[in-house]
Amino acid sequence: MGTAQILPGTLELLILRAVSLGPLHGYGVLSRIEQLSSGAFTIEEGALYPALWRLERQDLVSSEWGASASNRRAKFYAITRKGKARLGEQVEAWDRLVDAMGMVLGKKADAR
Amino acid sequence: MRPLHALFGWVDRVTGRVGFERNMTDEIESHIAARADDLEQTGLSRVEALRQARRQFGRQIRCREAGRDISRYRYLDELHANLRDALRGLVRDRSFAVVATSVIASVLATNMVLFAFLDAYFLRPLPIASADRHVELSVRGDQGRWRTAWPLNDVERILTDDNSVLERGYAFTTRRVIVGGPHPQRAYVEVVSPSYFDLLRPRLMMGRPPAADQHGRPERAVMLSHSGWKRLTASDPAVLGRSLLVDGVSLAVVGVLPEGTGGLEPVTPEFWMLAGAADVGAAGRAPEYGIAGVLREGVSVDQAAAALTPLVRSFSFAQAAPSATQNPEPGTRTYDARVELRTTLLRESRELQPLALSLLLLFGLVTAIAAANLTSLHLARATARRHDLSIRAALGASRGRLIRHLLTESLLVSMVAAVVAWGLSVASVAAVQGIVFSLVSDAGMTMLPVDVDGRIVLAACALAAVVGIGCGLLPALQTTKMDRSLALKRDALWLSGTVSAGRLRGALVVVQVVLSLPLLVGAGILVRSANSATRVDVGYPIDGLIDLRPDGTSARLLDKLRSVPGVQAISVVSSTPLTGGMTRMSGRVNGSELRLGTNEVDDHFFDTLGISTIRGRVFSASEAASRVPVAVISEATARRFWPSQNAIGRTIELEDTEVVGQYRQYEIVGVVADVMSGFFFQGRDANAVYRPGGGAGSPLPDILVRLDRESATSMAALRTACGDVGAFCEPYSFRRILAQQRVPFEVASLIASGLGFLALGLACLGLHGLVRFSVVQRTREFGIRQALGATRRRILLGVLVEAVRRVGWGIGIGLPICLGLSAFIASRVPIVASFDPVAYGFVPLVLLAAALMASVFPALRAASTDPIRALREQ
Repeated sequence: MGTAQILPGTLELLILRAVSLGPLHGYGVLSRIEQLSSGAFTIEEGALYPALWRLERQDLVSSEWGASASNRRAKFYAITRKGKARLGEQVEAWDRLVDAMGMVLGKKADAR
Repeated sequence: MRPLHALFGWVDRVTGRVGFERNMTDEIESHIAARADDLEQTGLSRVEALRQARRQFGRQIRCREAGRDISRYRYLDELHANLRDALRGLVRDRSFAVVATSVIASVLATNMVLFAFLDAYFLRPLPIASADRHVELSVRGDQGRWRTAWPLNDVERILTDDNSVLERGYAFTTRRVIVGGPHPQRAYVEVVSPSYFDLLRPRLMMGRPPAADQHGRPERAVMLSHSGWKRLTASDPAVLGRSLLVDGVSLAVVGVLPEGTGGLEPVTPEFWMLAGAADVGAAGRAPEYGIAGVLREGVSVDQAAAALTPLVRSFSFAQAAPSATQNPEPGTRTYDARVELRTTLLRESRELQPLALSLLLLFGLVTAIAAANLTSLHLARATARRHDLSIRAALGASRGRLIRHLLTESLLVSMVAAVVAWGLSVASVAAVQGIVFSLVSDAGMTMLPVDVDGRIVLAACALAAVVGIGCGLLPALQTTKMDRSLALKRDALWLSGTVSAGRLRGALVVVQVVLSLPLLVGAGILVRSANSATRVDVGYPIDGLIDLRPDGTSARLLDKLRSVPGVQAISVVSSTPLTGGMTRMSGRVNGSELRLGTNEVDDHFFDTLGISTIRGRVFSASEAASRVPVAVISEATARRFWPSQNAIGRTIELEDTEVVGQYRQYEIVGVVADVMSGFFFQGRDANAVYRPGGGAGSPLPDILVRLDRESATSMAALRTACGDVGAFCEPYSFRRILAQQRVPFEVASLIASGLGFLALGLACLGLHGLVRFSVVQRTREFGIRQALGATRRRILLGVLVEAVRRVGWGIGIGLPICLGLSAFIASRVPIVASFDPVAYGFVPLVLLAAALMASVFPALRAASTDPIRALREQ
């Protein structure tokens, strides 16, 4: 699988999905997304943090300082109840978008 | 900028901003370290791994910027940046900074001084607990008579009533006494009941207030006010226990109040003493006291009045049986108690309301003029900065952000002005107080010092903020209302915004002229009435006329005074002219009952004053000595009661001063010229009845002396003559009495002309700014016109005519408003003329002349435009 640019506006969805599996520090979020996309998505590291902070400010994630696996001090982000609800909505919207795009581009017909 | 950085450094620490920044750094560093750990495992050295991790992270600075934009510190950053820019802008454009600051500071300072006075006397509660329930008692009779003072035994019936509606009541009266020593001097004393101090609970500089002993006997002691301590004891630090000789009675000093504190009265006396402790200052009459106190909680003034009415009806004055001749229907005369709130030093009164109203109106007008001026200044500045603003807009600043940017500057100017105004008002409050209360201080009394306290400074800051935002908002909205695509061209394409801004400024000048007209006309009217007050004719020559103010009169003293060189004539009177009016007495003329002004005078009175006899004669020495029931009346009185008839030989009935309710008949023997007996602004007496008196059996309290020439030596000679016969006197010239009465008018005209000049200055400043601005804006136009053959004179005239036209508009709109306003004020303050042709004619001319002066320099600049340079520059 080759690399792909993430679509504008989807970084927050990816982050919410990553932290929905368990608390992660920033670098962990990055690794998780790369891992989940099998290395297809490479995220600009400097852009990750503003996105995380924005989510935190909107109460979609919460943060806490703790120790990482390599015993370094790191800030861990966990999804909040509000974040889970938002993730559900966004996944649904994304599915509808993919379906619609697929229909327009004739992908579904081809697949059948 | 360094103080600004320091300030924001402090703000950052207080708001947790420092922790926020540290967290961002830690998180980014932790990310880079984690990435470097992974890279190290691919075989890179630690140093190389860290370098690569940093490179991969990208520009940290942008990450942090984005973090700050998201955080709640964004507005703080914006404020910091805006303040920094505003400061730089003001430093660059110093003339704007100075003019705008002066405009606001001058208006803020005048408002602060006004409110310092209003606050001290009308707004600040009395220095007691439950000041909101502090009341004073008076008694009204059904025939318009009223009383506010009663003998002590009557008063005590109310003060000691267990079921009283008063939670704590006290008796009070003010007396003038003579405090002895090597240099005896007059002093004011407040005589109160012990409960006064229970209520006031004064914090003393030293000692304690006087108290009653266990049997209720008042202590023969005094508590000095700070001014009394300074004046009567020369600030003696060991004054406690020493005694003060008051009207010959020795009283111990037991306490001294600190500076700036007083009692419950607007005029601070020299000292306080207890009622009944010593008979001082009463001049032989039985002392009478007023009643005040704090109402019980939940009792209204009407309930209190209803509860007190039966008590006051049992007072001795109400019990005095009216005679049959005077009151044919017994029992019809009734008295009701009236209870009025006085929660501040001065009670709100109908007399003071129009004064306060006019003052507020004047100050409001000046503030409005300054606001119009400031708006115009900000508009000019914002228009001049449009290039800078459009660059900001092009770089992505929203309109809101641009408006916030502009408002920061106007707020900053306002706040700097508030600080300047604080200094100005503190400096001027003492000076203004000195002038305003010179009348009182000349009479030996002190008023509580008025100060600009924290509340006034806060209020001024709030006003400054409102003015800053209010005046900055319109220009900010106007200037940012522009098309961004045209923004960077800096050319005539911007004209739309400029033209409407110019029109707005023109309208603002008209507004300033309209608003300054009433101020200037009002100032003109007041200055003229103050001027006419200096030329007032009281009806007799006042040069050389002296009010001796002795502590008592005796034949020996009069003889001694007659022998003083330079003394032409001497007279004894009961009510001194020009010091408050004649004694009002009930009288009957031609069968109708009415109040008449009366004065008891001796046979020399008319000669001494120089009042001419019109018909009949004045009193003879024997009439004065034996108080024969004859009377001399004024011309106005004769005209009123016997128009076109001879008043001589007719009779007037006057209330008997000794037998309550009895009337005495007086035969009129003479008619004299009308004079002023009351305060000069009350005009000549509407009616005046002179009765003979001053004989050995009925000495009159005051002595008038006519000197051939008034001088310090002759005054000293009079004082010495009094001292020689063991008397005390305080010679006071009528010239000085009249001058003191003029003080309020002079102060009013001073305030009004001060405000008027401020208004004129502001209006001219606004006009000058406008003309200068429009000339700069139209440089290109003038260049083209000159190139096309317009003469310099024509351009100069064009600019001047435009300025005059604006002022003309303002005068046209302002004059009718002005006429309405002055008619309104004149209806409330009768001594002010409603229409003064001189003020009305003069002021528009002054405004026009000032407008021409203000615009002539910019107009000359317009006329001297070099067409080639003008066209090249633009």
